[in-house]
Amino acid sequence: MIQQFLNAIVLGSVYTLFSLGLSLAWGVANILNLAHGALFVAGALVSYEVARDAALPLAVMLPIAALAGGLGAVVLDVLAFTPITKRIKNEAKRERAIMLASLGAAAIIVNIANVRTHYTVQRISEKVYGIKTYFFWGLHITNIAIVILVLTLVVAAGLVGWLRRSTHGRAVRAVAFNRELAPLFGINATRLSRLMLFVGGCMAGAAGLLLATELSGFDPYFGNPFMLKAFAVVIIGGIGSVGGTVIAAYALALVETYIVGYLPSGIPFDAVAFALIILVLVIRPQGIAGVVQAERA
Amino acid sequence: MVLAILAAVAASAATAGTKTAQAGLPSTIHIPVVMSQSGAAALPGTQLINGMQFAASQINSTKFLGKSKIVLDLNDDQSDTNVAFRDVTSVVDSKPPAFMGPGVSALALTTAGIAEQAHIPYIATEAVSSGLRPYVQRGHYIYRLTPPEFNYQDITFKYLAAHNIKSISILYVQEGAAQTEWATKTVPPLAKKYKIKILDTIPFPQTQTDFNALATRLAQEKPDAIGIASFSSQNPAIITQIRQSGYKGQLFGEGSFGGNSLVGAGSAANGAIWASDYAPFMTYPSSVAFTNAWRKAHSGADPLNFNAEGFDGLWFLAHALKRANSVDPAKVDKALEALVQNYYNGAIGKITFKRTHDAFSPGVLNMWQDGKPVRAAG
Repeated sequence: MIQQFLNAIVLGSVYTLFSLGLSLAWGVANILNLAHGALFVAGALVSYEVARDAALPLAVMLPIAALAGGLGAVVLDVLAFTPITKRIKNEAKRERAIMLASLGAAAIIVNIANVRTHYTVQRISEKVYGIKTYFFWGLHITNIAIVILVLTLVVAAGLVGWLRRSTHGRAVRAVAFNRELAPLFGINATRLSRLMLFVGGCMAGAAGLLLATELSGFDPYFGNPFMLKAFAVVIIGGIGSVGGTVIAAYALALVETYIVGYLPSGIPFDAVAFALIILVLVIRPQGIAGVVQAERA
Repeated sequence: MVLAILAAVAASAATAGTKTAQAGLPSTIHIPVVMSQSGAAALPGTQLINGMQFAASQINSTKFLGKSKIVLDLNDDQSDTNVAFRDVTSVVDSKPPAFMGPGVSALALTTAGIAEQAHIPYIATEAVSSGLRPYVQRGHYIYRLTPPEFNYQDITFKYLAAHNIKSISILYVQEGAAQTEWATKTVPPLAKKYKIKILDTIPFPQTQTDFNALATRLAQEKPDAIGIASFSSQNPAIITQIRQSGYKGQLFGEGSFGGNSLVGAGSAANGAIWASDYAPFMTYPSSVAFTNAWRKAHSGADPLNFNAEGFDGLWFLAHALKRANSVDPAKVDKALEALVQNYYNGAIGKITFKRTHDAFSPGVLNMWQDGKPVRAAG
């Protein structure tokens, strides 16, 4: 029972790290970036390529992976999202065009990854981070799981602090609250949106490296299942809400873990988990902390 | 030299009576290939194609078909049923002498009927689920050159019984036709035969990424061995997390353990066993010839089972083309029908057909050890 709780906390951290970037880009920049999973793959891929040539430690590789994801997001914004936003004024059409563009970008990144990984699972060199399992009081946890846990807490707490206390953070919240009015207060909405896409991409890239290490490998499609979970987390948590995303991520992980751990074999685990999500949405359609969503509506 | 030996071995297979005159064959024979080059099945798909291309280069360089050369026309089914359906429809409309069909069981099943209706011979490789069985009986146009897994899984259970395994738990990906069949249809009768108790059979969705909860559950059940039937890309995470949970028992699997998919699991995969139709350590003469030729052409790298299967598929078709001395699909089908009356010495060893269009081979038991498969002893 306690081991499964520990499993759920680690899984929840993974979901948080992956979902926060998607939530921020969606909530602040008003961009549903369907290439978020591909940026996650980009983080793992760049780490894999770098680690083949140089045995750098995780502390050095993490910023490299984060930068790969972050810069990937900025390139997408410069080449596609911003031009689309400038050209299409109708909000519904703009959203559809951006979704399509991000889907296309994801396909390009995944295909590059396919070629570079020779269509197969690749492992990031053990020299980057050798996995060790610690056994104590009948429980077990790996060193990479501890890194994921700590990093998630630091990132989530840092983001909350930055959004609430810093001038930039308050400006970001202003853009999320009303993108049209924000420029009247001297806020450059385009620049802040790009910053949030960069931050989200960095989180995706870092998560890609950490997950590829924890799961002993990655393939070009390993972002896809996380995208599905991230959608659930972001919608339950409330689009753009850091606190809501964190709560939803851990809640989903707990539900999934206990279903897998204790339900009789043969019951479709994911169907039960998603049935519970539907139930939550029926009871609270705006999500756990759906302030932004309510304003957007 | 190796090429010549290989061509001789391949040419000797079940081809008695083949005439050498190739007057009926055009200078270029286009063989369509519908295979997954992207999507979830890109790994087996591209490796099957590599095997076919290697076969084509041998067929052409050894002038096996005289002045005629085989050219493969590749179509990417994207691991998607709808795309495969569209591709195969388009391929049969072009009336090729035959074509190499999708390697994914579900896609092969969907498209077999199209070839059947169009009367175009369809060479299936790797599509190993039993769903194709009705199509690979005599009188049909589908020929499967990769033996279905249930034909040689007995050797895995023989090994488990010999190593005092009394109980097992099974984990399988529910969206995989071959994996589901292995877990729910192949394993139970074999476990019964060898008096091994099945403690649990757990399906999981293909979207599952974290296996810690499942690993904890399995470790708590304390089976002597855990059987795993997942997609290749999931194997490293499953095996690593099972070992991280403290489980020290035997791990065994099915075809998805092949194709070097255990590399990512590192030392956690050491000792894991699985049966396959081909392994580089096979000693059957035609297998040795293939392995050596492949290594020579690929800087010493070992071929994968997918390479061997693709290789056999195209060479078998080349024999039929030679026998038919024509690219007319009806004549090629007649030649294929004649070939399956006998055995065939392929890269995967001696293939028999037992009065069907379906391949049977004894299989070999692999054990993963320090980054590569070795023969499992005893």
